[in-house]
Amino acid sequence: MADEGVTQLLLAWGAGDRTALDELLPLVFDELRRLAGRYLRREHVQQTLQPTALVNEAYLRLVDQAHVRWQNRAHFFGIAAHLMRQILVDHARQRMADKRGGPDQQRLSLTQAERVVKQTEVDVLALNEALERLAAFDEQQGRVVELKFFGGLTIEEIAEVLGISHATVEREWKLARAWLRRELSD
Amino acid sequence: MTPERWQQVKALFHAALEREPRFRADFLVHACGTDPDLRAEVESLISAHEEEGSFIDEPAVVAAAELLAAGESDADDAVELQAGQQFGAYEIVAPLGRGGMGEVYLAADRRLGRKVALKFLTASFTRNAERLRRFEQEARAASALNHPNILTIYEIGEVAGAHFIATEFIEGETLRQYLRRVRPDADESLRITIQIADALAAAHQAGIVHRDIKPENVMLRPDGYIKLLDFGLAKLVGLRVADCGLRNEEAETLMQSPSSNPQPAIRDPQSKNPQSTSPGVVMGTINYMSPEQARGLAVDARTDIWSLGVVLYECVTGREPFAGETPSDTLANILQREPPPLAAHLPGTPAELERIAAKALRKDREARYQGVKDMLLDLRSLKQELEFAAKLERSGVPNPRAARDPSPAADARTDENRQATTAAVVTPGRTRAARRTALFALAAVGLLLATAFAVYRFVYLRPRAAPFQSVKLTRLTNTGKTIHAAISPDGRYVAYVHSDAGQQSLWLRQVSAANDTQIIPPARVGYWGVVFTPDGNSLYYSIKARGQGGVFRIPVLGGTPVRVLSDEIDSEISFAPDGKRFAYLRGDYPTRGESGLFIANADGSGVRQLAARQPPEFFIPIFFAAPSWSPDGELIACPVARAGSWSNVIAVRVRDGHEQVLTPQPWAFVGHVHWLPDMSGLLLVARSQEVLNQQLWLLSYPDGAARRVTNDLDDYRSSSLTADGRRLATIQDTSLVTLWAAPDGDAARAAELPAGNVGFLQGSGVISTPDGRIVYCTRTEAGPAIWIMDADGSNRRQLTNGLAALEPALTPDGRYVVFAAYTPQGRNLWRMSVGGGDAVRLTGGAADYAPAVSPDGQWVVYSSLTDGRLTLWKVPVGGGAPAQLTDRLAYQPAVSPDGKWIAYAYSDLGNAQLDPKTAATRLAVMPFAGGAPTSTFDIKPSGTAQTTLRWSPDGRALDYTVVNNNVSNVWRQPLAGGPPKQITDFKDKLISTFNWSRDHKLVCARGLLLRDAVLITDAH
Repeated sequence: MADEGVTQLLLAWGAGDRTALDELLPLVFDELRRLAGRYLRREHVQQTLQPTALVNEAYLRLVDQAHVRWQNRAHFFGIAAHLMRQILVDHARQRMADKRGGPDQQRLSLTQAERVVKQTEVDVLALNEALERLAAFDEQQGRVVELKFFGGLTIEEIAEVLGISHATVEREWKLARAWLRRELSD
Repeated sequence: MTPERWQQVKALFHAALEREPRFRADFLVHACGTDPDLRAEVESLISAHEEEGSFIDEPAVVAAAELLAAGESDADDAVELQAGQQFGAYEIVAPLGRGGMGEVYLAADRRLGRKVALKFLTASFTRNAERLRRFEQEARAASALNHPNILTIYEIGEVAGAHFIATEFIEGETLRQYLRRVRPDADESLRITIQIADALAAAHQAGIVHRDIKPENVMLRPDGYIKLLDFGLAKLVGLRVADCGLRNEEAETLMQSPSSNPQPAIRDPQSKNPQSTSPGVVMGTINYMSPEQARGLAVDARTDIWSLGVVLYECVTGREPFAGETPSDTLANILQREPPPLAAHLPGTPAELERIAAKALRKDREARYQGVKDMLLDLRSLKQELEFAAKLERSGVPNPRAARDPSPAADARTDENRQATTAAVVTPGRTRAARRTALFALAAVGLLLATAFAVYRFVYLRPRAAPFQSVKLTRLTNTGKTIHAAISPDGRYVAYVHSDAGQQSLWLRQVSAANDTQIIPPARVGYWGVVFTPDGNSLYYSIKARGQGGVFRIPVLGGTPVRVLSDEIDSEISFAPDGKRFAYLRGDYPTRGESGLFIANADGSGVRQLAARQPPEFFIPIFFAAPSWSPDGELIACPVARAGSWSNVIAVRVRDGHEQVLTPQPWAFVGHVHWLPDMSGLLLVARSQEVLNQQLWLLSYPDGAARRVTNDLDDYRSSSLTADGRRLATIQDTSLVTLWAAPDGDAARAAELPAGNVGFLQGSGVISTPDGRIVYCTRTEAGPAIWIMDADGSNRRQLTNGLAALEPALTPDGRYVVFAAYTPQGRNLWRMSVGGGDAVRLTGGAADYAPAVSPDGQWVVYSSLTDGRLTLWKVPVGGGAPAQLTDRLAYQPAVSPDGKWIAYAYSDLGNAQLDPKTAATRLAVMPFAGGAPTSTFDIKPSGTAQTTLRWSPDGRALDYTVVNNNVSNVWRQPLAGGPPKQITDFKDKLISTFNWSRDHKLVCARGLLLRDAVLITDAH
């Protein structure tokens, strides 16, 4: 019952105060952080981190189910994806800043950030900038990439969240990915 | 790229891809005609598409999650430096250890050729720029102290984003290490505490409070010098300290596996020692915490006196006076328990030492030593006295004072007498005596002033009866659609916001005439607060609207609104008493997640940020939260929350941004705050940890005692006071939900059951017993509870006591009720006899929902949060191991009347998604033993669907509710297929839960949610 604050925020939002959704960000961030930590600490190695499971659990824990209209959840996924993007970009920026400190300077532990790069094989900052350019002329494609790459949603889930057909998501993803790939290889 | 151009590219890209590669070139030549650029663009995109290798195919979320988790543990972002490495002007020599703030290294300063200790602050401490700035300010002030007993700070700096402090390197051991080795005698204990007190006296004189005096922060040099470490560091973690009792439990919860397997807590395997996780830091600290720190109150120099008293006690006796088995025990001891006298541990302790320790450890800081100098004088006098006595003893002269005098009479002597006696014995010199006299004179003046003030408070403040002790409540509106209300300073007008059909409008009510005037017509905007100016002539209101929001002013009697502030604003404003400035809150400013308290001039100029918070703490930026400027103009009270854990109220001093916490206990939620005109307290709209609905409370200032003003089952949203503080306007949220029974679901024959208002709890549950009684969930002051009554409303009684319980299910014989309840362990299922008796817990999952009992009475089927998704489980009604029924996501199970099938709701997406646009949530039926569904159904028609799912009484269809135009009805999906049909015909109200009785009655909870303005008058 301690999470009623979030429920109230969501209710406020559902009742027409869309801005209340933004107020959820710090709460969502905190919850995701706690859950991610707990997942990663778990000893059972076979339980790999399922991104959507993480977000689902965060959602369930934050929202007293009895009180909230379900359609808010789609937007919750959107927020989570956006937060994930923000985290990676901030981290990559921080890393750049550290690098500029000079070659002989001791850097703070960067293993996390390096792992990111290995994992994604892309420059997060360059991708982020390209994605912003893409969203400027095709907002929907920007959203698809954010949900898929940063939010870890499947095509079906994205279709759900955006309220469009699977086929459309697939087409949008195909083109957006090609465009981004070309941008990043230039 | 223009969007139009992009549409062309998009169409050609997909069209080309649909063709075989060998035809694409020709296709594009034709399709692009005279536009070679377009062709080049599409071709390059196709070749990027066909490129080998993966590209952003793997989601980055896993990496992001790792980063998220890394932010959680200090261990992960610590610097790891090797001997010989260069760090700025320093060369690392060896690691010294790990402190609460981060790693400490021995290093050589290459410029000056001296040894230093380098202490790194971990990112979790430095992330908050404002806190870091204050810390540095404090550390710099401390570095200027230059006292032989204070560790010298050489440099506070930053290299490559790593914040560090370079200090004097002390060879020696901490007092903690020393105490493990040695039990010092009284003389040595005095020698140690005197040096600490001396250091503190210098610091206090410079206005610096240490806040974290403990043996770990005291170093003993081999030459006998004591050095006090870490000034100002405690402030950096101040809130954690205040929060420790909860943090510990929270830490335990965090470490629990979320699987339903109720295994014991798993400890973080990476944690090297308890100090490396944040709760550990706190736990290392709390034994020395003062009562005011434990209460989360503002601290001053007297806090250091208390902690020094604890250190003194521990030196003399070898025991920590308040240490308990758990941090909460320790806290309770600090707040309530008097430690045993020193002599209980060490017989023969000088009575004077006993008195000094006791005076430092007075729980009421007003009764404690008021300055560390006084304590220092007493400690020095005693030390000299003891030395004198020892000398006498050695010279063979009997010393009457050397004999211990444990009689109460000795303790009853006044301090002044005692000091005089001591002074006479120890310092016969005239100068010393004269100084003493002067001190006494000063003390006497101080005492006189204190007495005078106490008398003043008694005479002038006491006669006023406690405000809002007894109140009268008058309803101002009765539309059910009023969302804000503000009362004018003279109490003659109430301005309120009416919200209907997505539009909001501003109205003025003349209280005496009950006469309403529309000030601003309905529009698609969100009002985030309305206030009267202190002169009562104008209204200021905050509006949320894309691009057109801000703060507006309008004359009370109507006119043209003027925008005074175009910033995004996230609260109601609060005026300074002179009306020349106002305060407000902003969220997501200056960056996402950050929030701040701001002030601006009444015309919107001169905006200035007064306080800032970063996640997980935040100023609650929502339309039912607001700051309050104090009547003396000096403080702004403000609700602050920490995501997922607590809320409290702080006061920020307008002059310098100094903050103090006004609420000694954490609250579940605090929204609106409002100062009383005499500043004897604040009105809060809040939920306490115990009372789950949002009520009006009175928080007395400055002692922080809280008392309820309203005492009902409604929720309140705001508070607006008249200038005399006798009347307040607020919004009351009322849910009017009652139980109904409709034979065969026939709305025309529906009859209301006399259970009263059960409150709006979606899916909360109502069920009819085989003998016709009704078990239902209703809202009580302590949260939801399960009750039982006869069908005629008689024999009504509460079944679940002391548990926030909902979702009741019955065994077929009607003897047991199974339900979900919230406890600190989680949301789990419980069973109890309908006849009464103790409840037994059946499950231990992270969160267990929606129990359904099989018709044979053997099993409870339910959904449980397992590895992040809801799956179906069953557990024996009599208790035992739960067994998983589905791997896939599933919830809201219902067992068929013949016991062979389980129906449930599911979503391919992940979790409970009933999105009207996509109708993604579906229903499935599977065999009772589990396995693949034998049939699935879409939920139709669209509407705001909700979660109650039941079998039809004949077992041939599934029933659920659908909302259309604010009216709920039950729809039925035949298992044989075909479209679902509406089977009830209610014309109004929402259904929050329903069920079928054995005699085919639909029992359900139906009702409304109402929000109205009310006037609360102090009846005194």
